[in-house]
Amino acid sequence: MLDEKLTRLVQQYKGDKDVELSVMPLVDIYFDKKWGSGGMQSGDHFYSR
Amino acid sequence: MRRRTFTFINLLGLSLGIAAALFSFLWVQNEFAVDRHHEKSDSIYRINSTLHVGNGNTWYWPNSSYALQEVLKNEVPEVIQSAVIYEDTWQKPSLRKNAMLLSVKELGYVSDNWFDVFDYEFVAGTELGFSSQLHSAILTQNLAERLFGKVDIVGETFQLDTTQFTVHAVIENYPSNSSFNHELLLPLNYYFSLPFKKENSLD
Repeated sequence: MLDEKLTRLVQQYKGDKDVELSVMPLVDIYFDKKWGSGGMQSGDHFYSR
Repeated sequence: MRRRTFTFINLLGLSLGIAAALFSFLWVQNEFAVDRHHEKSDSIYRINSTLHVGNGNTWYWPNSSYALQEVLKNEVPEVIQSAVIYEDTWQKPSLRKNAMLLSVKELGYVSDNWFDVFDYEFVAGTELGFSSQLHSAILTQNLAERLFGKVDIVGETFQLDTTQFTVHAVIENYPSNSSFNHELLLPLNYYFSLPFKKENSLD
């Protein structure tokens, strides 16, 4: 739900239809192999809710 | 005599089994504790990008546009606050203090409210007022000791390239199971004051 909302926002603001946004819990990042496991990357963007 | 040998072998096997189970348990416990030292770890999320770049190719980036920070705040009520870190992975910066030159393993430029979202233990100084001064710096205990030989260094200065920075605070070294390992934190505002940096980050 929030993934779709964020994607809609970024497409609306940037006019870029080729980008999808998704959220990942902080505590799952270490185990993630798709977006990059362990260590932080350039321009990481976090939020809390 | 034979019974003693069997008893010894059984005890040895049992001890090794218990030790292996204990170490496995501790390892798994340590793995699942990664980044949980932040008090709000259960409610912190990272925004990832999936980019469809043509020819059926897809890129997965663990980052997103800086412009999202304002948009999130204004248009997504689920978001309480958002924070940004930029890590310059292209180069390992060098710090100079008098005649000493030190290479920093990881440098992070953090937004104003970074310390509202993530928890750090301060051994000298605090985060208050950090972002309002472009040339202020927060160092880990380890980096402070390597560069100054002590941790009580608030107000001391060092150089990064040709720019002089003032030590604003010193933080405890990161736990071994932390994803963050930035030895040096600088204000994101400083990064954006450099030519073309902000424009590029808005993409």
